[in-house]
Amino acid sequence: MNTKESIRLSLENIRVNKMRSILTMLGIIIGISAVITITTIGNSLKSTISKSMNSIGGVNSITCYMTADVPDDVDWETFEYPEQTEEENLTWTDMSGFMDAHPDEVEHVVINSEFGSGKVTTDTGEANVSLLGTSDGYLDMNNLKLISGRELKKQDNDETKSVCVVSDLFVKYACDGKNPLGKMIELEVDGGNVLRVYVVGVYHYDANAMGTATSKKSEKEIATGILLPYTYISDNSGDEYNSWGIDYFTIVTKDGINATDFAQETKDYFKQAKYNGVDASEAFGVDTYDMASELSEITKILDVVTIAIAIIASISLIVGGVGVMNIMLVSVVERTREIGIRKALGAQKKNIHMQFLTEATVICLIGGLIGVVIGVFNGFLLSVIGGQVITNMDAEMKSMIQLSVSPSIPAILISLVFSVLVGVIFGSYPAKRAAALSPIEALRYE
Amino acid sequence: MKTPVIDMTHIIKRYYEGQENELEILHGIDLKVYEGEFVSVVGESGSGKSTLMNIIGALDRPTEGDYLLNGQNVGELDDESLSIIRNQKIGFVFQSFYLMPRISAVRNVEVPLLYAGISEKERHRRAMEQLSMVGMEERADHKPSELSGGQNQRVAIARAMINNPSIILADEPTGALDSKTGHLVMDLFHKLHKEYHKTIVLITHSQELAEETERILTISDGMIISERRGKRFDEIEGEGKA
Repeated sequence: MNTKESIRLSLENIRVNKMRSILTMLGIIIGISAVITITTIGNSLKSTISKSMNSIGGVNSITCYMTADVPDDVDWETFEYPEQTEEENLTWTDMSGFMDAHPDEVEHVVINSEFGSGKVTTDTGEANVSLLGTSDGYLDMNNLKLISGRELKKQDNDETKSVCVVSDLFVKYACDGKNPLGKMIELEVDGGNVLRVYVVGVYHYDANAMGTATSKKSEKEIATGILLPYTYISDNSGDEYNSWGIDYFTIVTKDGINATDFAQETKDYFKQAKYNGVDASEAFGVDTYDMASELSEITKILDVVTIAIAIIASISLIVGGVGVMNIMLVSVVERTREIGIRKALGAQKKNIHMQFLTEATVICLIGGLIGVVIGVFNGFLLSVIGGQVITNMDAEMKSMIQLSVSPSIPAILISLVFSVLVGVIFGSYPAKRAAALSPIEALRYE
Repeated sequence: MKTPVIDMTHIIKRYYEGQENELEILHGIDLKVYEGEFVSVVGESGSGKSTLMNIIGALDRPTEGDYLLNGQNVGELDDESLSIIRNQKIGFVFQSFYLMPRISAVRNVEVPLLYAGISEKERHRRAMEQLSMVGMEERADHKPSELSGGQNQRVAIARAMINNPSIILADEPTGALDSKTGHLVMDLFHKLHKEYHKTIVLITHSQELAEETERILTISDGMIISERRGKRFDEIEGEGKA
């Protein structure tokens, strides 16, 4: 008698005793569905976080900042930061050089320096603005959409062009809603200089993306950014904005580049190219921070928590296994006559053993499969409900969270293997009992 | 002279051996059954005929003595080999049929082939062949509960025949049937004997039934006490068959 026959017999027996089989499976179903529910939630949380981070310009970007070493045992009373010399300041030339050195890795180097804010008055209205010295890729990185015209280009910085990109709110209030492309606006900066710049593009102001949604200002009051080439605005504003050079910028890597690895390469590049081999931890230099490695830290913690809870949940599997053993023992007694007949007709011990072991295993496997289905369903439901609850709590989160529900395939496979194991372990004692029955006594059993 | 299929010498069966309540059931049975014989073992209940049947059927081993089945000493075999003997050499017919209630007639007939490792298709073909031999092919898909006692016993006989065994061992095959169906079942045994030349051992307490067989062995208190030819055997099988 082969395995196929044993499975067929098992399925027949399960079908005949439907109610009992389902009750037997219940323990396994509950155990497996608990494990799958938890792993599905854990996995969904993980992919939701990573998707959400991606959507806010996450894993492709490396944040770089100027830093100076502060010793661990510093005495703050007397400690003074080393003076940052002009040679140490990063300039657009450094950025340009960095981009030229990494044409295959770098998509954009985004500079985001504020050069003051205030009110701009034109002949058609007025609007609050802040002046941003920036570069290509700024809109993309901040999830902002261009409505008309063009973005800033690398060339604008290289050639110190007097151009700007304004928000649609600026257009609405300062330009009376009229198409501003090609129009010249005057910006008075600190120090009294008046800059004349030409509008080349309009972007859609998005409070969430700008991170200012919490402010309860009226639309007209909001200071929206005017994007100017960094080189242009820094050349034309006072010293107070220029004494640190570019002290903060973001590298957007091309797709397929490992941001964590490239962050290290970036540090090494600036150390060599700019700071004569001096590490950022020893003096002034460039240090980095990337979402990807943060994300992998979070993911690791989530994994550990998920696995720990799943293991606790799987204890219920053992309870389920004991239930299976109990029913199988009852079944052996009930089917003593059948076992006797089979033995009289030539069934060997191993055949009977195999038959009962297969039955226990099939029961557990079916229970496991049902448990997986219920678990995936539960996990899906709870993840969606959880997502709803979070977004209802905070409107700002709504746009940031990209809910993604995905059951963990390895957890499903492991669960199924586990339920088979439970069947084999808890089925073997009843199977042994059945196999050991003497044919005469089994036949005589009433 | 034909060779004996069953060759028992001084078979003793004791239970609880070495204990206070030791019980000797068979006190030294000598029995030879030759190929193609139709033998009956007759005895009152408690005479030891069931114990003898268990030993003949390789369900149990003798405590002492030799039992050669087709020349093979059954007393020396392990459980596994006994299973194979039961599967290949013996066809059981029991008083209460012992069919499995949840599966159809044809599936019941197939069971011995299952343990002989025969393929599904071949099993089905051979089971249908045996069912038509006992006239049950039209009821092949019925479950035992949907069949009458006589029909069930015919299915059981088909099952006993399926592995082409050396002996058919029938234990009170008509005991659970009324006399009319009982006769039909007996007719079937005669058919197996006469047309298929089967060796048949019939265990019964009914003297009337035993008279239909070729040779009657009377067992009493664990010993075979007499042996004679059945009175009605020639009348039933006739035509100089014996």
